[in-house]
This record gives sequence, structure tokens and C-alpha cells, in this order.
Amino acid sequence: MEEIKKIAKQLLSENKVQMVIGFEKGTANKVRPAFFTKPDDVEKLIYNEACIHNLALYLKKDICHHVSNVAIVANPNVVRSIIQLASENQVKEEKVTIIGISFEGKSIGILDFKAAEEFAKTQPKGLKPEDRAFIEKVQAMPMEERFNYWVETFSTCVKCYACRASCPMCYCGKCNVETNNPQWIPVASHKYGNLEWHIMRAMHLAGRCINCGECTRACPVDIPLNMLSYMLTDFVMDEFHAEAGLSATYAPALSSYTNIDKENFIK
Amino acid sequence: MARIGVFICHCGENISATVDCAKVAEAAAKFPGVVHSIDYKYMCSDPGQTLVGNAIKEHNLTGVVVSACSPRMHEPTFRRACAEAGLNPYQCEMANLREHCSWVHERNEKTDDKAIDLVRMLVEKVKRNNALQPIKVPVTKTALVIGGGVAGIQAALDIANAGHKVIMVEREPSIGGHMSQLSETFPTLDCSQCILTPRMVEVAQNPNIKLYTYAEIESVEGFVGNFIVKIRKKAKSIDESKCNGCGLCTTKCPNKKNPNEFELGMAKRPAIYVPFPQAVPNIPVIDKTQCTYYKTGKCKICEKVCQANAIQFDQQDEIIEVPVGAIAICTGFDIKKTDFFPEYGYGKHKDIIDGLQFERLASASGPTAGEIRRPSDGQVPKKIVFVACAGSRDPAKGIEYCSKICCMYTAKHAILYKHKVHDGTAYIFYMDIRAAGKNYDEFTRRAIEEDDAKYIRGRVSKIYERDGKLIVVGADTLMGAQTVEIEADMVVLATAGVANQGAEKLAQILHVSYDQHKFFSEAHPKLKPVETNTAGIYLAGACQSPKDIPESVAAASGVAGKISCLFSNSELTREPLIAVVDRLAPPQYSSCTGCFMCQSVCPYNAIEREEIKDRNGNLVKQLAFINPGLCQGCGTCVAVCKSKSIDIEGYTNSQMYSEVDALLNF
Repeated sequence: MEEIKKIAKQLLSENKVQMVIGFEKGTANKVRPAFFTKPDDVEKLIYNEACIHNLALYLKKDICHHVSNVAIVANPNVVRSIIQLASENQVKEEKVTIIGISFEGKSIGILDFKAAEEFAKTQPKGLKPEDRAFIEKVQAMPMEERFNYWVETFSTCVKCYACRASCPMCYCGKCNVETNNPQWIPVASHKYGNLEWHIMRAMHLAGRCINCGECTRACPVDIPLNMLSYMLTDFVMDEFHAEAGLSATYAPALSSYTNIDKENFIK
Repeated sequence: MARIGVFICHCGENISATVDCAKVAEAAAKFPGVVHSIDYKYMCSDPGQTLVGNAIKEHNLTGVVVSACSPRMHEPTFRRACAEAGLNPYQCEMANLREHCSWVHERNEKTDDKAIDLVRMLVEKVKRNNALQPIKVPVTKTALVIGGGVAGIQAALDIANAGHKVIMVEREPSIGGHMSQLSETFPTLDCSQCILTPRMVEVAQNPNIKLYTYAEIESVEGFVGNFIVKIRKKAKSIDESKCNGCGLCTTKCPNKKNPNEFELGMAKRPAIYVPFPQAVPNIPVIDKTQCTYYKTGKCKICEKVCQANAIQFDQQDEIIEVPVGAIAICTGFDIKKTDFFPEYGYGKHKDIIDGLQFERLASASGPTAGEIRRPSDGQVPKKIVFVACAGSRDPAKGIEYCSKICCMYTAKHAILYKHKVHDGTAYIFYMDIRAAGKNYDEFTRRAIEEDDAKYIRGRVSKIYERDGKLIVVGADTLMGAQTVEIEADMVVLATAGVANQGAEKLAQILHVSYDQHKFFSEAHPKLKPVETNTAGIYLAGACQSPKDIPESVAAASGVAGKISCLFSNSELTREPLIAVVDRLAPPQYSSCTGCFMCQSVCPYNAIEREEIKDRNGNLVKQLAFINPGLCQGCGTCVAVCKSKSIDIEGYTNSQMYSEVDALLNF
């Protein structure tokens, strides 16, 4: 942690960046994201096992809008998010400084995008054995049962859009759900309206989600949203041998074509 | 407020026999926004169109729904009628009551209800139509012809003679293509080279034609009327401006044992060579993979003997960028080689040859000076077997189509053989004789009746060697599928015609579609046989499917006609039904997030990056920009856009949604 502080302080004092995004102590025993603009403030920076939120989210928020250079304390999930955002033309290498840190809290130092890609490839993904068991259970269900399972699961959704707000990949300025001409997704929180929203979100994340699990953590009614993303990640891997968050020049599986793509869906 | 007019057409009885048109018109009159609704026997007729025009003026209509046939035929008719009456033509929509309703249903109440639904959908759509203006784009009046075979030559000459510039690109060192390899041509038996070479010379001499041989297409960008083509001119190692074609270098080259491609491996050629004596241009090239100097760093004999100092060993490939307005693809075909056939010995028997090799044997300029001599020992074959449909029409071999030219050239081969080997016997195994064409059937009859070709209807199951003879085992299906065994001296396989090597790559460079056999696809098999799906790119000759010479030439002239039509305009008018990225007030500028996923899916390379800058020149936002000249309105970008920032004009999300809504929430 001291090393991260040192790097952050140096970056700010040398004016290489105007802001460092990291964590600070919150109320009670919680941590919260913090935005350091002065070298002295960096003293408040902490990193511990509670610091699991995906800070890459803030790169696309207003707080970074007028800052020309940002440094970010990046665990592997954040690194993957930044690489994916870069591949989607949302962040530029010259504007983002990655202060790498492993899941265990070990500092890796400043990573350029090339090093970040290498780092991301070596890091484990957050799929726990119980998650795998859950996915297998759901996938073993017959089609109709599986559909009903998700309809029921989504029926508790209150459309608070916390999943969207916490997701670094949900960066559209104007979400479809807010488009009212035409009104693609019903605003009211009812069974099928909820289903439409979550199907749309899942489809938009297919081949792009880096599986940080923020959506599930943010969900106030405990919908296992990230499980849906995991399944889609598996599917994209099987069908297109593509994985998000590993290459800044990645062409998203669902919007690119290569000569080796399977065409078995053409009947 | 929308003021919509609905016009229900009876289409004679095509619609009215099944759909109660008066009832539909009555129901449509009650839709919100509809101020005028009538039915009429022939809406496309002159009085029918007048009805539409008068109603627009009388009722001050803001939108028109013509409920008649498929828009394919008559949408332009009614759009024109609307425009003449002062309504923007894109405020006119057609509901297809014929193909989508009357032709596919029985007369009953449900059919009427469906017709009413179809009209309601279009009424809701047309309320949201925007007044659009046609797009105008300039035209570069230069055509690119890819491939210098007979099709390319014909297309280039016709376009050049119409007064337009032509750039011809040929992969080989000389133009001429497969036709220059043929001995005689069916059904007239006139000498192939005698009729072709004057045309080749004409290409070289025509001031409107710029010829690049030994060159390939590197990339194509742009759109109809405005393509930018990069041509890779491969290094010939010869300064073309100095070479006078004396040919001394080719005779002095010590490295003479290289397989001659033009003679299909049946002769040798030096490392510096002109493919054949009548080559255009008559300028040699050095094959770098064979040349002793390139391999060992020593030799340079050609340089020493060249009196024009034309040899340039350090010549590099050159990339030439040219603007063109239209492209003709005339890349031709290839044939399967004998090694494709395990049952005929995988090409290991020297005396089993393909049809093109036989052409060279029969050609006066060929390796045997026109005498039919078998490749293994140079003997004159006294018994020769021709196998038609070798590979063609054989789904088991993956070639289910008919190669079309083989029936005719096999008959020609049998005739030529008989003319040259009077005491020889020619057997032809065939499936069917397909001789549809002017004087074609007479030609095959001549082979059978006058030149004594023994036609055996059946296929050859295997060919093997025994005592220096080739044993051809087949069946005669006209004799009760009796096994036939012929001891032949030589076998000629009329192997399947296939797409040229590199066709797939070229199709991807040009963004034109191709079929499962890698032949280029035409835009419509009947009505647009020489157009591709990409505007401004045309097809001629055997790159589309196996074709004979007259067909290739006809198609090439067709292409030249199409291109001349295109070039007769100083600017092109295009339908404005294209994709557009939305615009919002600052600071958003657009709901587009600049992820450019649309860019990678666009099949027409129409999506560019647009930069929004503030007054100090700082980049504020990067947006997708759709080039209106390139966009074909396919809508793929609309489907991948997560933020739904792209709309197809005339088919916007809101229009589509309201159509569905009109159907569901009524």
C-alpha cells in the first residue's frame, strides 16, 4: 500500500496526472472510492480486501470529463475493464495511468497498455466453485424451465438500475431504457418489462463483459446478474474463441467477422 | 397534423377477388389521421395515378399509402405521381395487399381484417416519414477492368470505344487469358489465337486504355462513381520503357529448365520469359523464384546481352493509386487438375491429361507443334478416351453444377483428334450431351457422324495402367449398364471448371458476394446478370460461373453498356434511404458513444470517424459518421448499435416500432 501511495503522490506532484482514483476509509468499517487531486491528500489512500469495487467505472463519469490525465489504482478487474474500454475507443492510453495491483494487494507498479494486457492474461477470474455449480445447475434445466427461472428471478427487480450504474461497460450517454420515442423497454417494473430490460442488458454485454461481478454486488434484491454474463462469456468463448478485456485492439465478437467464424447457424 | 390519403387498388381481380377492397377503404377512412380513402380498379394506370395526384392537391395530403402490389415494381411509379402533385416522394408508402394478402389467402373475413391491418401499419408509418432528398454524387469517368482475358478485353475495348478511360489490370505477364491457350474454338473451328491476338493488340494500342500486366489489386475504397483503387505492379525486373521486346535475353538465359505455365507444364521455359510469342505486352519478366541471379547472386547474363539496358534487378513492386468510377470483374476461371481424381490415379499417369493440356497439344504453337503426341513417350495415341463431367455434376466431389463448356470442347477435341490422327479412334464417356447454343448440337452431331467419335453414355469408374496402356473402366448405361473396358493410349479428362485462385480474396477486397464455389454472385440471376450487389461493380465472363467464349463476350459488352450508362451522367442520384447517426444538442452532440462497433460490421466500409471539436480545436467527442455515398442502407449498423443512435432513413426505429405497435395495440 505504501508503494501505491508513493507512486500516486509522485504522479500528482510531478503533475503527470491531475487526479488519482483509489479508495479511502468510509463510514464505519467500509471503504469508498476517492478522487485525489493533491499530493497531500494521497495519505488518505488505502487498499485492503474490502476494496473490491470496479473503479474503471469512473473513467467514463463526469468527474473525469475535464481531467486530462487520470491515474487509477487498478486491480485485475479494473485493468481488464480499462483494456476493454480502450478497445471500444472509450479511453486513450495517453490519458490513463494504470497503477497495477494484484487481488492480494501487491503493487505491480505503473503499467502501460501492453504490460496491462500481459498482466490481465495472467490473473485469475472471479469465478468461485459455487458459481460454477450454479451455472451448471441452470444450464442443465430444460429450455422452458430455464426461461421461467429467469422470469421469476427478474420479477423481483425494482428497476433501480444499480446494475447499470455500477457497470464500467454501461457507458452510453443515453441508455435505451430512457429512450421514449419509441419506448423500447417499459419503465414500470413488471415481470416481462423486467425481463426485457435484463435481456437487453445481457445482450449488450455479451462478448464485452469482463466478469467483475459489480452488477450482482450492487443489486439490492440479489439477482445473480453476473451469472448471466458468465454464461454469455462461456458462450462467446465456445463460439468465437474471443474473450473481452485482454486486448486493447480486440474486435468485439458480436460485431466483427473473421473468415474462421462458424457459420453453422445458417441453415 | 397528419393528413393521410389511402388508395386501395383492386389490381384487376388480383386483389379484389379475395379482399373486399371497398370494405378496406371504408375501414381505413376511420383511422386517425386519414382524411381520404378510396378504392379503384387499377391504381397504377394513368387515371389511377391522377386520382392520387388530385387527392394530394384537393385534400392537402401530408402522406400517401397506396395499398396495392409489391413496392418492387410500382413504388417508383407512385413516388413519381406524388412528386408531380407536389408531395415529397418519400411521403408515399405502399402496403402490399397482393403478395402479402390476396395471393396467399382465401376470400373470407379474416383476409379482409389482415388487409386492414396492413393498411393501418403503413398509415402509422407514413405519419412518421420524413421528407427526404435524393443524394447526388459525382462520377469519375474511368473504368477499372480486372482481368485481361477475352471478357476483360471485350469490356475494355467497348468502354474505351465509348470514349471513356479504362485501366486494365492483369495478374499474368500478358493479357489473353485462357482463350490464348486454346487451339481452335467451337462450333466454327476457327483458330483461337487468330481471332484473339488482334484484340489484344488493339487493347495495347487504344489511347483510352492503360494496361498494367503482372499486377494485382491491393485495395479498393470508395463507392460507385468514386472508387480509389490501389494496384500492386509486381516487379518484372525489366524497365518496360526501355525494353524493345527483341527476346535476346530469353534465348540467352542459361536457366531454361523451368516448367512452362502457359504450356501447362508440358514444356520448359527460361527464368526470364515471355509467356507466349504473341504476348501483349511483348516484354519479358524474370521469375525471381527461378532466376539464378536471385538465387545465387551470380549470372546476370540477360543484363549483359540486353542492348537496351532494360534489365533492372533491383526493381521493386510499385503501388499505383488510381481513382475510378466503375469496376468490371473479368477474372475468369480455372479448371480442376488431374490430381483431383483418386479414381483416375491422382494425376500420377502422365498420359491422363486435362482438357486445357489437350488444347496445347492440338495447338500449332504448342509443345508438339500441333501433333497429338502423348506426354509420356511422345507416341501418337491410336485410341484416345475423353471423359466428360470429370468432377462436374458430382455432389460427392462437392461440384454439383454443370461446367457447361466441356460437352462442346470434348466434341471439338474428338474432331481435332480425328483430323490429325486419321486412323485413331476417339471414345467419349458422357452423362448427357448439353449442346444448347447456336450451331452447337450440329457440331456434336458432326463429331459423331462425320468424325466417327464413339459416344458412350456412362461414367468412368476407374483408370489404371497395364502394359503401357491405360485401362479405362466404365459403364454403358444405354446397354444395360454393361461394363466397358477400353485399352487407351491416352485419356483426356474434361475436368470441372472452378473459380479462379484468389477469387475469394478479391471478392473480399471489393466487398462483393460470392457463392459456395467462390464464383462471384450477380445481383439478380435474371434481371441483373452482370451487376453485383455493390453499386458500380460489374461481372463478366467465367468468374461468375463457367461460360463459353460467346457468353463471356456478350456479358462483357453488357458490362461495358452498363458502365457507359453510368458514365453518361455527370452526377449520380441515389435513394436517400441510408443510415444516419443522430445529433443532439451540446454537450451530448449525439447519443453515439463512439465505440465504433458499427464500423467493424459495415459491409460497405461506409462508417468513418467524425471528430467534434470545440472552438479551440480541442477534441470533444468522436462519433460515427456514415458516408452517404457508400451506405447501401442494409441496417446492420442499426442492429449492433447499443445506444440506438443510428436510424435508417425511411425505416427509422420509430417507424418500425409504430408499425408493430399499430398491429399489437389496436
